[in-house]
Amino acid sequence: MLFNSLTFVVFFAIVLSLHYSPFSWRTKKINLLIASYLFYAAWNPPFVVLLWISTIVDWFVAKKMFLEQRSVRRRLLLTLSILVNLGILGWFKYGNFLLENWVQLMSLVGIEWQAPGWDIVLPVGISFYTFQTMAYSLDVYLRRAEPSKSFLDFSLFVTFFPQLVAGPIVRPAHLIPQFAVPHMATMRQLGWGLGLIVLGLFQKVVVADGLLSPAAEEVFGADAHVSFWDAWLGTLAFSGQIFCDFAGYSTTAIGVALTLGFSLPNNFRFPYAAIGFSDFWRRWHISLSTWLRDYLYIPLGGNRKGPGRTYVNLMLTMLLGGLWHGASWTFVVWGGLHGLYLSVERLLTARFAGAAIAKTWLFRVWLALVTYFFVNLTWVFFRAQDFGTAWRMITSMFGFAPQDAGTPLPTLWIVQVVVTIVAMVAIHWRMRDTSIETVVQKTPAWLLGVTLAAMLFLIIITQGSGNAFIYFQF
Amino acid sequence: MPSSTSSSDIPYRQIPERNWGLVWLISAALVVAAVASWELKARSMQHLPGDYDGYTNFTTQWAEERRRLDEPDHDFRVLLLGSSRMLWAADLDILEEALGTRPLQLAIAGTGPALMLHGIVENTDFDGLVLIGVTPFLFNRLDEGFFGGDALRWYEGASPSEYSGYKIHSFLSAHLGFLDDGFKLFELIDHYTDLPERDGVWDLNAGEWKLGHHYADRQTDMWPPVEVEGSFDNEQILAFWMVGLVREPEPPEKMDEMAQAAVDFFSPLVEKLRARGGDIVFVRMPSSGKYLNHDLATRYRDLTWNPMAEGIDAVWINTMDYDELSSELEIPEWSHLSRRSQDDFSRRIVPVIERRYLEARGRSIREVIGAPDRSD
Repeated sequence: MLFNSLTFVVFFAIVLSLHYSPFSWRTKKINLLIASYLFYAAWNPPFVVLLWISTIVDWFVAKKMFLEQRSVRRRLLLTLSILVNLGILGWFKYGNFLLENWVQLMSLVGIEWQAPGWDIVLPVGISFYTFQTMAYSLDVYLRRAEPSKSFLDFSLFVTFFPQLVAGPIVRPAHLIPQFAVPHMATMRQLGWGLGLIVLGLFQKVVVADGLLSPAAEEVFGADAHVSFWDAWLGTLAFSGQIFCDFAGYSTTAIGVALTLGFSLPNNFRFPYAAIGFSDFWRRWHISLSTWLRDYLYIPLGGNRKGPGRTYVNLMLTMLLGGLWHGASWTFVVWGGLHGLYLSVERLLTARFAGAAIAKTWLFRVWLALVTYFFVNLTWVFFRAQDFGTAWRMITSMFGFAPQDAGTPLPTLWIVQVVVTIVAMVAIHWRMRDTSIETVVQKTPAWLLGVTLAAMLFLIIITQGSGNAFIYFQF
Repeated sequence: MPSSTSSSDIPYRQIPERNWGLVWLISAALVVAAVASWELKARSMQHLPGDYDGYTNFTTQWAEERRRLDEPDHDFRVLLLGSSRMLWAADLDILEEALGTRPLQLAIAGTGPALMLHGIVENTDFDGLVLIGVTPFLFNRLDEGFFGGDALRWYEGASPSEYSGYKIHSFLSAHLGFLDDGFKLFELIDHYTDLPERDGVWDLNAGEWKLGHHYADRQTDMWPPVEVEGSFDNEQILAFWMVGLVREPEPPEKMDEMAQAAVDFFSPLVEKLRARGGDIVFVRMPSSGKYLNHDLATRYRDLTWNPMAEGIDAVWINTMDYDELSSELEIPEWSHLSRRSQDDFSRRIVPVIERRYLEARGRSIREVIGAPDRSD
């Protein structure tokens, strides 16, 4: 089920009504759990079984791990949890990818092998909820947390519908305690939660789908070179689209949870105002980057085993982070580029951080532009269907497009992209050191009302075509 | 060690202290007023309640109608297949009166009838009359065409959320005109904004915007603004058609191939349908202007139509042979009938079908349309 759908409007109204009806807290949690299963089943009913498998396996594994003192057995139990979760993820998400690469590898050594025609459906949000439940098992194994005492609370943690299919990835210690005590939104939380929902849907429906996606699709869908300007405009359009799409989803999820009285963490913090790549990753998909830091980078050794090993750990973490996004080598390259950027930045910071010029505002502006430039280059690999498309885009962006390169973008879409991207980057810079809550706090009620009305009206008349959120495919 | 139930790690969310009741009161009032105004604007521009958008008609509604053939006790005796010309040419009420039975409208815009006919002959027990509208070149596409893929996907089963979304949207569309696809904000901006373009860039204004009103049971009528020749909406449609018409015509060898492919595909289906008491009548749908000129210039009749008519054992009616089914009709944008001509065509085609069927088969079409004994 999509947030930007009429079905969700009806579903959400029913869930809210039930949550604020005079039922016991336990009954309300059961309602939320059933609603979460229905939310997921609305896409494809049989795949609810995957949620049940993750829930049951990790519940029992964590309980046993907590009581078990022998490290070998604890490790075995953890391995079981990881195998089940990564096994589900691996089969559904990477099965076809692995098979295709195996066939290609065989043909490279002269063996023509006919692969079976698997038609594996990718369960929506699988990368999100498997990582979320693995965090639970890992936290118990690492003795960072005790297992939940309530199966109901744990089940709700695995399936909580606002963040089930596209995050934010929430840590067990952030969410499970909230289910233990009755939570209902105050009027302020309800009002602001609804405001966040409108803001999130505006970002998705109006900005991402309406203003930016047509240009991005036109450019990335071209089967030949496009001009320098069209390549850059298409890439910038996608950079805005993916931010507004994904941040829009997260904002909506946070708003939905807030209207129910629950608190989810922020997932974005104005990333296109980042100064440097470390700063970018403290602002972009924060829940994933912190997950990778805590459960992959640090266990690999982080930066505690010398510079050489630090760079290896960084690259490995980002490569796997890229692969997390999709079963395609272009995603791996995307992750690898970010790993390379972070490594180079680390190297240069170690050598030049003390330099006087590094503290000047001019340098910071230059670094911010460099960051934005290189991040956009990575978006080419993220969006391109294949390396051929990516190569054509990159060569065009660096001015090597042939004379007869296409110019697919209509003038109107160029204007839309330029105005939207300039506005978006300006907003990010204005907001980089503050929060939207702080800004809203200072805004008169009448202006808030008018702004929300404008956004809601634009959402309604844009209508949308029920485009799925981009991150549903991860 | 923190308990999973400790509250120390719960992310704190700052909640702005505002009078949210007042904020939402202002917002709600403004939204209601704005949406009401928008609805009035939509209706003034002929986007009316009860009009389901084109995409819904060609896909979801098609699937709903198609499923009716799968019901064991259906009583459909006449099916309409083909492309958009069949949709715009058929007045289902008039045809019902003339034929004595209401046809099931299963034509899909931008899509040939091949796959749909295949599904009906192979997977249903239908044994009545199939009227297939032939749109030159589109008829010869034996694939999913523009909307056939989505139509079949809906038919084979949409997800629960997709289906419920469609039902809710249909309910609201029955009461709100602005929900028409053609009245989406960015559609309006694309079609009404006229900016200079670089060489080689396609013209946004030349996109097909709105061509018809689509009602329940898939009755389709031409959208009134398009009927006015020379109007902005009429010119937009013509510009859209020109994108396809300026392409290089198919060479004669290719047209031979297309004809033979159609014979190979349709012949077994006709035989199978006839074996169980049904039959097929192919009707070349009327056209005018540059579309007609294109058909004449490519010699579609000689190179494709005639070979198909000779190779497929069915009844073939070329409307170009009947003034009352071609030159006497209003075809404002060269391809689809106006509302008035839709009524005329629906009234005039049935006697022609009856006559031609009797000549070709030696029996009345009523024997095919009439209900056979189903006691077994």
